[in-house]
Amino acid sequence: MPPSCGLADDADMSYAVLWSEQEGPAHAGKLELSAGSLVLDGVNGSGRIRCDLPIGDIMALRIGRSRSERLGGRPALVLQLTRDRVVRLATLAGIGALHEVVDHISGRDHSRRGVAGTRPLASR
Amino acid sequence: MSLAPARSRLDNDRVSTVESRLRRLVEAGIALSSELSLDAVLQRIVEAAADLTGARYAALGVIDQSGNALERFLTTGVDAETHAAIGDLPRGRGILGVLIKETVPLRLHDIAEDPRSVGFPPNHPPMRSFLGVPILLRGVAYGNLYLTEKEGGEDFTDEDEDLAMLLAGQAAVAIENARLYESATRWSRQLESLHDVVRALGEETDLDQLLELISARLRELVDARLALIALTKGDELRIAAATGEDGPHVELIGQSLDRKHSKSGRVLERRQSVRVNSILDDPEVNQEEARKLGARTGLYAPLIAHGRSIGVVVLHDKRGPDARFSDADLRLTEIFAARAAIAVELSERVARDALQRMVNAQELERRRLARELHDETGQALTSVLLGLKAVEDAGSEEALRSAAAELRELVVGTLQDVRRLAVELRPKALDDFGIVPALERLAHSFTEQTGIEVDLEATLAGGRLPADAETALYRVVQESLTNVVKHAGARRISILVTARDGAVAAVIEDDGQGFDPGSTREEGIGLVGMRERMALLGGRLEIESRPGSGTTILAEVPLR
Repeated sequence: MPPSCGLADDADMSYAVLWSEQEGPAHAGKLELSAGSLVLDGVNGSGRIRCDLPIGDIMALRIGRSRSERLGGRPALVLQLTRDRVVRLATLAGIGALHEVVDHISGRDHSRRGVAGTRPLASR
Repeated sequence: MSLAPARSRLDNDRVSTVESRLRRLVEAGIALSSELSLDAVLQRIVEAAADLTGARYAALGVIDQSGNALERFLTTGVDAETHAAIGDLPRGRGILGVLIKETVPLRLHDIAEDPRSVGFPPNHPPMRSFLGVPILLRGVAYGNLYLTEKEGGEDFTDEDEDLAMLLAGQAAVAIENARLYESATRWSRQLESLHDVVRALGEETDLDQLLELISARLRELVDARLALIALTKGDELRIAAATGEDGPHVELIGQSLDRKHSKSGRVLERRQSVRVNSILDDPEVNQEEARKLGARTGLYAPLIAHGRSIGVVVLHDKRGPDARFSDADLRLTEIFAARAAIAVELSERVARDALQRMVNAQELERRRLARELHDETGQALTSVLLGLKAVEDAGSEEALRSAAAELRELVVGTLQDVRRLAVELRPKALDDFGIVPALERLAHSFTEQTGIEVDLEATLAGGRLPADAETALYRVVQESLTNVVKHAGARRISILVTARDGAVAAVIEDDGQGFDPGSTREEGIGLVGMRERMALLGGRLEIESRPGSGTTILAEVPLR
């Protein structure tokens, strides 16, 4: 277990998630909401993978519910990052957890509040 | 001329006597240094004193720590039969009492002639000449050495007195050493017991176990026949722990004590510890309760937390010849009562915290559910409405088919989400089919989503478990799986569910990176909630893990 797991607020600020970059395979692991970034840490078939997503790099976000956007059959948060990078992530446990992640990202960058958000059918 | 040889013979006899005494004194000193037990040393001293002074009888009395009576009385010259015929040991009255009160040597030609004498008990051998010397060390009197019936009917001499004083000095050193050793041993035992209690306060979460430990250790230290801890519960005072010489007295646990008309109740009210030397003579004692406990003496100390009386520690009957408790016993009991009060307070705080956490968790769950229904289901239904509008407005058959297909996908997705929501709230399989089918579905869905393999083996011999046990175990397994995804980096998980020895257990084992349980806060990895779930049902949760070696969680619930 990485040392950060022992942090007092870990239980409140981390989620079990699935995530996928572009159209790549899904990884299972932990999403940690740290100051200024989202840290994804988990494993896939080829070993451990860690991914740091600075909140400042997130251009837009929405909750994707279409079959192609879902991860493990669950609605996924679609993050549009700079340089055409798209990351999707879905929370594995906890009702409403995905909305908490959205709140966290929006709350971290007030300039984005109201500009980006959840638009259920926007992608279609 | 004729007198000189006679004087010389006398001198020679005297020198010979002195040499003989000196040799016996040296022998006695060597013998004393080879003895280990106090009684053996004192017996040697009594015998040496009788031998060196020519006394037919000798005795050594050790004054108890209260300074008023004799705690030991060793004799020589009186056989066992006579001893038995005389009866009880002297209580330090008469001439012996004079020596206890006035710590100066006393020599008498005839004991009976002294006005302070109270005579001898029946069957006591006649004694006339007397020499008594105090056993003193650095001004502290430890007892007296008594010698009577000097050989040849003579009186004891100055020289006898000097010899007796010398031996009394040795006795004083021996007694002081023994008391220091006893005191050091007692302190060491007290510290050890207090350490055990303090350690248990930090580790043991079960209040009943903690109070049992405290009562057992206290009873042992004070050497009481019975130790009780009673706690207030509303207007009642109920026994929470009871320990006797043969272990816990479970039959007393849960019994109520009269709070209004009992010594315990008075102690609670006054918030002051008290010793009762005679239960029968104390009008505040509830005699009926005391009779049931067979109590003769008592010691009561209140449990006080933040100025509030929350219970009382009661000890009955100090073991040994004197059943009364001492001031030292009272002080020690107060220390243990303070620890017991901390234990009760901690337990109440933990219970309050757990309740608060549960209420908070319920509220959070409701908030999340409301949000999910509003943002997800609500928006999905709005989208369905918009989709229906698109169907209505479709200008062509192709546009109609496309709008209908999009609408169908939306409805299918929404249905899937609502079902997932329902499963997360409460899996229907758990209610309809029980723990094993519910876990099979959970494991299957978990593997499908995460790619982590789960082996589930359940060996429950048919029938359903109690609903609360099924729910608790299901939630613990569910939380463990979430933890594996978040923290373990595992590839395989094994879940074993078994029932045996009146309990059902789930063992969840992963091949992940493990952690050091000693240096990781349980709050950080969601173990507190799991532990509380188990504790609510009287069960337990154990975690075994070390870095690099995976993690095993055992959750066990008793089947009542």
